[in-house]
Amino acid sequence: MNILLLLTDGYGSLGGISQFNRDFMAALNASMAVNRVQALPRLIPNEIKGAIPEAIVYDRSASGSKTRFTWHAIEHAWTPVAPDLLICGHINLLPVAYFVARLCGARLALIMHGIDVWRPTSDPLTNRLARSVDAYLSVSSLTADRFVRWSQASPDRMSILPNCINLDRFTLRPPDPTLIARYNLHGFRVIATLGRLAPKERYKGFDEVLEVMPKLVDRFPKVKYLIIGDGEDRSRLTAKAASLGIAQNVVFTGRIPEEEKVSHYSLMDAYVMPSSGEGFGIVLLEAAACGIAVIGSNADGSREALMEGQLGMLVDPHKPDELTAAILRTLERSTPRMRPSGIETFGIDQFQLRVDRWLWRQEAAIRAKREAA
Amino acid sequence: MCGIAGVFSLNSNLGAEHRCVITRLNAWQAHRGPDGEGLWSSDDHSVSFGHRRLAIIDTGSSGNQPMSDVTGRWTITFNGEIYNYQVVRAELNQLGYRFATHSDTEVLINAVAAWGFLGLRKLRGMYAFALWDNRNKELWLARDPYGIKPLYVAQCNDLVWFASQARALAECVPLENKRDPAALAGFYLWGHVPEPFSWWENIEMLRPGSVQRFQAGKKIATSEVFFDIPETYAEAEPHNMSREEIRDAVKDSVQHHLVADIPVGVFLSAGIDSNVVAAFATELRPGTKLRTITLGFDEYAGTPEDEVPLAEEAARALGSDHVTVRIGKEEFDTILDHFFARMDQPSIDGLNTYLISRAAAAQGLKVVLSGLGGDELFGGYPSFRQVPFLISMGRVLPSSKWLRDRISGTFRHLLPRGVPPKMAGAIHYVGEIGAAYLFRRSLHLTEELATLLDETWLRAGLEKLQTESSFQRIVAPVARAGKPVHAQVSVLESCCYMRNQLLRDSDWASMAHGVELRVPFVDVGLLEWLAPAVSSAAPPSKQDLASCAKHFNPILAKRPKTGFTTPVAEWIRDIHEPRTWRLHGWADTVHRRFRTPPSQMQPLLGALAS
Repeated sequence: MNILLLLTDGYGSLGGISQFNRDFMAALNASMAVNRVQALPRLIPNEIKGAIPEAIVYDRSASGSKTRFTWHAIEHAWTPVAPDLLICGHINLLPVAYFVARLCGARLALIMHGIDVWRPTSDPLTNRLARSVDAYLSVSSLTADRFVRWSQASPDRMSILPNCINLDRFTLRPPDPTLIARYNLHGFRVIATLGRLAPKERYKGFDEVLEVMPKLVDRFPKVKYLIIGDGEDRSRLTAKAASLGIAQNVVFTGRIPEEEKVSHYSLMDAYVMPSSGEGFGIVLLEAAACGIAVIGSNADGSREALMEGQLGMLVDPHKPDELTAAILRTLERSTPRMRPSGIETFGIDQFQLRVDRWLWRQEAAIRAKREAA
Repeated sequence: MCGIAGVFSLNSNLGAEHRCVITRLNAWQAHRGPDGEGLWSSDDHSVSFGHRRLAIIDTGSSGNQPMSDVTGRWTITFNGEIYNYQVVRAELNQLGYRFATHSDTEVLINAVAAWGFLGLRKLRGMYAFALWDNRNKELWLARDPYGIKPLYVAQCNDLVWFASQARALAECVPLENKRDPAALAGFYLWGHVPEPFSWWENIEMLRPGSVQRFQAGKKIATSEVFFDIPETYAEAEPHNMSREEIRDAVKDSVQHHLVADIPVGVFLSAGIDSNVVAAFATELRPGTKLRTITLGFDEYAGTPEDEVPLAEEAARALGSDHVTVRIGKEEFDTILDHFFARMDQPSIDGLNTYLISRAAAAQGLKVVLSGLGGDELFGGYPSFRQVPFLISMGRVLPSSKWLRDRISGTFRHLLPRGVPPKMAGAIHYVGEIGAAYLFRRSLHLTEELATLLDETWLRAGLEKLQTESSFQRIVAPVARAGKPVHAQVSVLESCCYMRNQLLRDSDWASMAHGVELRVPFVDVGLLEWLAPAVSSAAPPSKQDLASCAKHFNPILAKRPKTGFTTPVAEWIRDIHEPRTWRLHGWADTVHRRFRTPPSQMQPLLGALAS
């Protein structure tokens, strides 16, 4: 099967969606159902490092303007070996994907990452096309349900493909003394949240944790809250910490390099993310894989990531007392670090298996359509 | 013919874990030699050899390997056959060398003991071996001049590993196993992985006609070339040959290739080469009924591509004990997994040899002669016409790259159905022999690769391959000696297509069934005999070859050349994109099988099946 994959970003990019896309491309590469993938990234913000999987042709020339991206996508429809399956990596790219798929007669699939599909988009055309896709891949059931509710898409076409984590990379490690010194954490209990500090992503729950910090400090004067990430909201959050009188207990690390991520998890006593808009919440799993106690939300996709509470505690993000109690309980318990059982469900092997099964189903559908024609 | 493997430590002693890897390599290569297994380690624990034996000459236990000579200085693990071993043995006897066995293996050891690496020039055969010199504490690795037998080497952490199959090393030895970009680019360019590269970056093929010597403490091996095919063409004094002379040369080679202590068969097609071999084999063994096998395909039945009727007619005329084996898609589907499990490195060819070797093994044959190599010596390929044509077109067509781009761009959209897509780019490959040959032999043109491989692979791959200039380099001695283009094409076909594709595939595909494939047209004795004629202004043709065998059926000479093809493109139509051009789809299928290492693939497939 030849695949045309339209992406927002992937190689040479940071963030959850690009990580999912890289994992997805690696799985396509390892699948026996796939001949070749022509992958068109809309953006390549950074330099691409390392080798691209050998079945993937990463068309760098497609990135840049929308016109350029669209033109390249159309060009791929005209090649002598046109794609059998067009996978649209983000709902915002759906109009282009739909047009190209119709042009070359390819089966069309859409990947849904989370909050981006929970509500209708601002583009009426995209909203109209949303129900006309042949197959959907959603990172969580919650995301699929919310999408189906407004789009009227057939639930039969939904498949769930949760994000995956590299369990060989996210492992238990002793805290790094350099980082302890860097953030002045010696003797402190550490809770943390990792994410982009963007006004559009306030659903991650930084505010909720800050608001319960005074109570935590009352109980544990030597506790620090590490806010890992950067963005336009940083100054607002800094001011908020000051107004709550806990500025000394909050550390803004700024954006950290990818290779320091595991060392940062290793500093924590608890990873806390009382979010309300996560499609899945991969960071919860990363922390859990590093043996860190995790507190997540029961109001979004985090619930599925934490396997209904098997991999970490679930709290209602809108109930500060519940959140406070959960954090205090975790800090008081101070149990030795261990990886929760069941986390292998989100390992790369399982991800590969899910992608493979989905691809075989797509291939069968493509073949059936061809035979019918 | 056998499977060999081993390890040499440049610095420290080998441990039990290293010997364990050799046992694993032996087990992996067991299909190459079902008649016996051998393991040997030197007293100083610096070297360890493994061997799987297919017993052809001196079939008793005295021929077992690894084998040491009577002095105890040399120990060898050897894959192949030395056809003139009796002549060389007589010469060595006169020099006072003693022999404990009747095998060709011991002759090979003593030839090296007597004459050093230049002793290999005296040998006619196909071989790859590792030889341990216990006196100088030196490991010799060597390969025959044409490169009929493979020998892969991987140097890692002061250890030198070697084996008959690259995949055996990749799957049994703890190596990094990164993909070689040259292999990826080469595979899509030509349909095979060209030497010295292999599918895995740290595993390389030993140069044919050379000896590489490793010594303890020295990381860099010394390499000596004892036979060079292009130089042989370059040094040949052009001379027109009579049919009688050609007849004597070919007959002599077939005679050498019939040496065996067990029955020898012939793969018989409707082509000239295999029929000439069969005709000479019949002539040389009067009173013995030759065994011949033909492979036919259900899909070709009743079409001009069907070789069966003519081959059967030829077999009747020869009076051979003949078997025709027909295969269709249904059977192909059942053997596909085994075929890919045995394929050493990705290749778009090899299926034909695999199928006919399977048939030979089912008939109880262990040694079979093939007509491979006849086209290279007797100008049988269309390339002998097309390459000179493309060179001459360089003088007629516009030289401006811009103009050529426009012309090829226009052609690309005008190509009628049934014309290979690469024809659109022909204009870029005129004027020089390297470019013309690249065009002639390419599965995809360089410019087509951008849609098949990511630019990181492609850039690094083409950089390593140096496609056109590497071809230019190969023919340089022949061109410098003023030999005609015909001789240069013969050199390129022998040293590139035949070596990298035909011989490579013949090795793993025949050994997949424990069958030894012998190639009388790929023989240094024959080459030295015929090189003056091939380098002359009137080189011998396939018709000359056809007319020199006494029992040759003349009707075969009139059949247009088709090659030994399979209907694989039709067979994979339902498992592959039907819109691809012939073997392009097959190349994708092969690559797909080699992207995921089998060890990772099997549990995955098992899980899917459940």
